[in-house]
Amino acid sequence: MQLMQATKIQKSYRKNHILKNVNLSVGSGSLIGIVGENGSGKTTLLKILAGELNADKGMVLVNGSIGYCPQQPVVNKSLTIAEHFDYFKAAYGMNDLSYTEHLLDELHYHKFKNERVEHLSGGTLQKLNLTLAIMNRPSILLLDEPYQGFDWETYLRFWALLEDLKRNNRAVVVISHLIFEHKKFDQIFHLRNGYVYEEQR
Amino acid sequence: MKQFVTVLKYSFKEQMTNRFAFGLLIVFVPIWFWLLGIITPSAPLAFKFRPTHTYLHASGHDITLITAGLNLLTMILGFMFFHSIQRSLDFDKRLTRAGLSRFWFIVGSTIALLAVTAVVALYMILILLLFWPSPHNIFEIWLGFWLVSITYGSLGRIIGMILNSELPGFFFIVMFSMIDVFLQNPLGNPAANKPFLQFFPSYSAMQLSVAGGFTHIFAGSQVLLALSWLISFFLISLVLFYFRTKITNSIQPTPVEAGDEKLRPQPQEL
Repeated sequence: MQLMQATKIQKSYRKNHILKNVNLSVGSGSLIGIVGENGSGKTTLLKILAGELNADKGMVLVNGSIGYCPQQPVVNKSLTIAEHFDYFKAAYGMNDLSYTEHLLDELHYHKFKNERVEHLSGGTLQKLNLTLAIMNRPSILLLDEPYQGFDWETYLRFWALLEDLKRNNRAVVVISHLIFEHKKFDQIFHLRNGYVYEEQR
Repeated sequence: MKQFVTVLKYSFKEQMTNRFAFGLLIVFVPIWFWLLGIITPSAPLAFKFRPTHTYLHASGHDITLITAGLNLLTMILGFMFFHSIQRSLDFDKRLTRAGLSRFWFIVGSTIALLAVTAVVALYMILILLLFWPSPHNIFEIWLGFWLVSITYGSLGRIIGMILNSELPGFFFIVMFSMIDVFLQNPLGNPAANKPFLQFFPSYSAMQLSVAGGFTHIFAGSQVLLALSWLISFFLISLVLFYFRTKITNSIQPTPVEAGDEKLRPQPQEL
């Protein structure tokens, strides 16, 4: 089942045409990678898919809920991790935080639960950033450079989490300037000169 | 309703964790009042009192304490709300994307603004009383302090949503407050009674506080004037908040111009 369909997406910043004609389909249970050099427009594309940014032209059709994990952690420095979960529980309209607790364990940062975010390391902030995007188990997960700052063990746990989401028919789109785990992806696209090219494997 | 309670709880928490602002309130405010109390003579000054269109001859020392209170409130609360919105705006947007109602967001943060400014204005009155034990109507002075606090809290929110970095915003609030409040004090500004000053945001708060300090008149017309500034800044801050937390329509179907020659066929595979 198609969960997201982006058609003829175009985006420019002044005279710089970042995205010239991007088409992308995302089906349930798929893991898609988008690779590109720095400044190639990956984050712009993901923001458009997430509804954070308007495209100049084109359309994005979505069938389901979107979880978006931005490149820079978007958190509130005056709150603790537990308070973030409480806040997002209210926002998502969730009844319990059992899956969130599971994510805390899986990503190995349970011991920081009552720490204020301003005291956390970059890697732990990224774990929180990711958890906030996943905790309501959205249909489509859009991840912008999601494993920045992760240690090796967390990196492996991260992939295990994505596998778990895939098994539950969630779609995951990961963008990165470096993708090592090619075999984990169902499709990999290269964003170059404003167009996406599917990698032949 | 659960969203409202959550927003309210964390809106208060955000303000309570601004240690720099609280440090200023606890340490700087008493020192500032004390210093001004020492250096300002009590000789009477002519103050143009708008509600009766007459000149009041009030103690320069006491008038200066009122302007000191207004000055401190405008700067500290402007900074507090500037700082908090700047720190949390992207986070607030993320929350609204996640489904948090912007209506409850606005209601919750507004209640927090009203409550925090009311308490800080009350604190300022208590400090003021240490240096000026016998003003006529403490409530009226507090009301003037509170109204100007809400106005500058809203101004701080506006600046926080417009400017990207902290330093320019901080300077803007300091300069704006200095120009606005300093000019109202006849001790510092011999032209303090000029009519054009009535168009300044803190003018009516000053008139209201002076009415409370030196007369038995309740300056209701000044409350209305203060409310006009307050409501204007508050509405601007709401409109800005609405647009800054708006989810784009890119995920809605939007038509593509047919026959656009710039569109090239999608490259297929590497």
